Amino acid sequence: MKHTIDDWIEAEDDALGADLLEALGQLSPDPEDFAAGVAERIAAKDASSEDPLREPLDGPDQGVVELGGPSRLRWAAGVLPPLILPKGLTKLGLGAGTATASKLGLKFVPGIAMLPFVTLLMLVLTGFVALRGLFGRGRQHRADSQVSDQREAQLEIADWWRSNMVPAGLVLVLIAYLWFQAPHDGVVVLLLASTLAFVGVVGRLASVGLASRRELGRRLGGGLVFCMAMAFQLRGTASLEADSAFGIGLTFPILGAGAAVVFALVHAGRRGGFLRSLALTGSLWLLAMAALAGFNSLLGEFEADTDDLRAWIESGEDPDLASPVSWTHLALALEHLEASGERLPDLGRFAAAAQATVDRQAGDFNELYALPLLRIDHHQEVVRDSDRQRWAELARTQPAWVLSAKHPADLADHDLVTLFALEGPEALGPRAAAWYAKTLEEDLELPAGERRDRAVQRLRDRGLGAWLDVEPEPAALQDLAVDELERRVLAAVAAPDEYLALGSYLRAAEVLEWIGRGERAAELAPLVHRALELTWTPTNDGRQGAFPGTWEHQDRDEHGQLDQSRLTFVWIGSTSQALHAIARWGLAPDSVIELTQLERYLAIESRAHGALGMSSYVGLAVAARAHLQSLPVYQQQIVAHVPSWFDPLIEQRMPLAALLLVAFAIVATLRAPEEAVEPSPLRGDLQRFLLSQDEELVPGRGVRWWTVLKRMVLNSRTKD
Amino acid sequence: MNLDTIIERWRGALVGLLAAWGASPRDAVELAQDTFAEAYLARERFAGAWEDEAAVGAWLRGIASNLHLAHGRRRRPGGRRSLPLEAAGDPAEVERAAPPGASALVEAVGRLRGPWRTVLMMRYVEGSGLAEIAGLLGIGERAVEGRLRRARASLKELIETEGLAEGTKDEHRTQEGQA
Repeated sequence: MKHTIDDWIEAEDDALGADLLEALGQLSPDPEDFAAGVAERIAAKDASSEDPLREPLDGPDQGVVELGGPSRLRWAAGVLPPLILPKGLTKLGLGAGTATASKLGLKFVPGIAMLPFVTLLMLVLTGFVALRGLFGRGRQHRADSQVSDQREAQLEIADWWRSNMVPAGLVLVLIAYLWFQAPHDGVVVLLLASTLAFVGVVGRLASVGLASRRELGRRLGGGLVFCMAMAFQLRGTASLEADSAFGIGLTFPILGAGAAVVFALVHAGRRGGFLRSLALTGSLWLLAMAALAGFNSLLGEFEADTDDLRAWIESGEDPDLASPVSWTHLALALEHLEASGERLPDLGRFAAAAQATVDRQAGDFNELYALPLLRIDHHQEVVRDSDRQRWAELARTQPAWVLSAKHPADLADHDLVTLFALEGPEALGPRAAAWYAKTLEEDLELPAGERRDRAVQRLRDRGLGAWLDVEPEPAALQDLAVDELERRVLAAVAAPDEYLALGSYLRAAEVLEWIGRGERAAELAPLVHRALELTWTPTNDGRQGAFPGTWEHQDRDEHGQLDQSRLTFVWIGSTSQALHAIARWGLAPDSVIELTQLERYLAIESRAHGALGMSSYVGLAVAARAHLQSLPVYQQQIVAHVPSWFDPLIEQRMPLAALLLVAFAIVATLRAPEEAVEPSPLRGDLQRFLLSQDEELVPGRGVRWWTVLKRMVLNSRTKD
Repeated sequence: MNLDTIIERWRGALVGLLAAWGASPRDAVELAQDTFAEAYLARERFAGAWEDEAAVGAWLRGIASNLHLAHGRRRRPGGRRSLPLEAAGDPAEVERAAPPGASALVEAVGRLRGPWRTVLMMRYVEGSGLAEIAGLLGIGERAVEGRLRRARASLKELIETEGLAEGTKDEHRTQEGQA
């Protein structure tokens, strides 16, 4: 039979068109035979039809078919991508076709609420399909139905993005904004609300019979597993952090248990009962939890305490202990432990490890690392006499190495206190200070700047040997020298906005105490308080705070706050210094520093990896936290903070949300019928409304959600 | 509006769609017949207007899709049938001799990308209108027009690249000369 085309497109009526009509026309059946075949099939199933081919199709009851679901839920169906839904649901809206449903099923409130979740899901699906297309290109020319399915999926995805380009784009912008700018865990809350909306809408639609329990349960169970995977990926974020064997609080187990129950509901009918299915899926859940617990014990984190710190140091086995770069943190940690009244660890094994390092490195040993080791030696003997003498000799001949950590131009008078560490305050320290005082006496006639320069120069030129020539006892200091030293120490302290100003104040206080003028250290309190307030950096989620050492932290916002993810760039040593400063000078009466936030920061920094164990960094955080908790000012803030009933809800918001999500999924699965009703096109209120509008909204013309929204607003106004 | 009119209007595009999904020529015809029969028997549940191409096309496509899937499951337990178009069956099954060169052209069509192949088969089996194709695919007429253009361009390129048309044209010329 020769066919022709009535609506040629441009340039279609050519030889190729004719060839195609001829070639593909062979697939065309004989019209009469075809119609007869259809009639036979109808007659076989419905004997009452006398002449089905010519009987009018429009019966008296044709028209509106209501499924009983709230029409607003139907509107939401338009935003649901056909790929992720049971067939019955994709055929919601008008017609059985998904694209039609997308055009006419509108995206109103529930649709908008679902958009973030659906958009992210579509991003994943798009990537997945794109990858399949990329790696499956070799099969492209195979005209099998698998390839056809893939093409169909690509088309559906492309259609979805086309028809939802603007709202999806807005959602992505919103997510990006929340991710980088907004306080708290905005993205998590948004996605959670969106997921709840999705589950609610799909579940409600299923309850009117458009999807079977099996179809819906499999998807919702899959969705819960998807959320579980997301929770696992996001386990490091503040919103999911919690102290538990699973590392992410109860969120992960709740989602997993929910998925197990939903999958059990799905298979309940086929496998002989819900309990039997639940036993199976529950076993899988237990296996997953065991695997997770195992994973966390190996690669997860635990919150270390002072017992862990002591045990770690006393074991002396960790290579980190033997590494000289760790000794600064260890020295600070021991000072915190001592200040907090905690028992100090036995340093015997540590001493052996440190001495082995010194011996092993021999000529290569950087004597700068001797300073923290000598500070540790103040608590317990860890330095051999031979080493101490060797380093003292080195100090006599090469004083510059002691000070080489600083550029001479940056050298402050009280930096000499650093030299206390060389032989302890009872030995070299006093001698150094005495020598310094002698120098001052000699140069009193010189201007201050020149005197300082000369002192530094002399240090470099003459070496520490000169120090040892003077009287080592503090009593030998001339009153004039003490006065001058005191004056210069107080005058030379850093300004509050200088980098590590708090360290400067702490060292100055040590000098003042040594020369017997400790009461003058109290005068530094305003500067200390100012520096503390300037450098205090809370996170914008209101949960943590630390002292970066400088007020000019690059990532602080206009409120001086920092994104919690950036707090990892803060040096914990500066926070340690700040803690010592708080212990000595307290907080200003009107201070904004929340020590509970500082405690939270130190708690998080106290987390050690399961497999890697403790480190000197973690050890310092543990000791600093113990020190903080022992401070009266911290106890006062704890007492002053009365938790409200809302606080636990906020604290446990993620497990609670997971619980809610699981409950929704279970209820939705339970409400879905065993068998879905046949999909049928609907003509609900919405479509009637649409058809009553102008041509822009006529089905098949690409109705846009914002157009409909606009029309609905206009319509409601007209009615008013 | 009666079933006869519906069949007359949608038959070609539906057979082409089913063939593009991988059904053999005979299966495509039978599945199309099943689809119309099911559509008629379930007509009470169709609430759209029979003149509305979008609604009718989506309705028929939904039924055809279900039937095609069920047909595939019957033929191959455990999954949807996966049958290359060119291996879908002997054209003789439709009890008509293929025109000279037609098999080469059909083969070329079968090697096109899915969407292009689908739209060509729906269009040229019986010269179906853009509205019917759009209705069955759930897209707009302009989209169908665009796909047709690109499908034809791809087909021409394929023919020129691999010389498939030469044989076809020669055979045509020979046939016309004999006539």
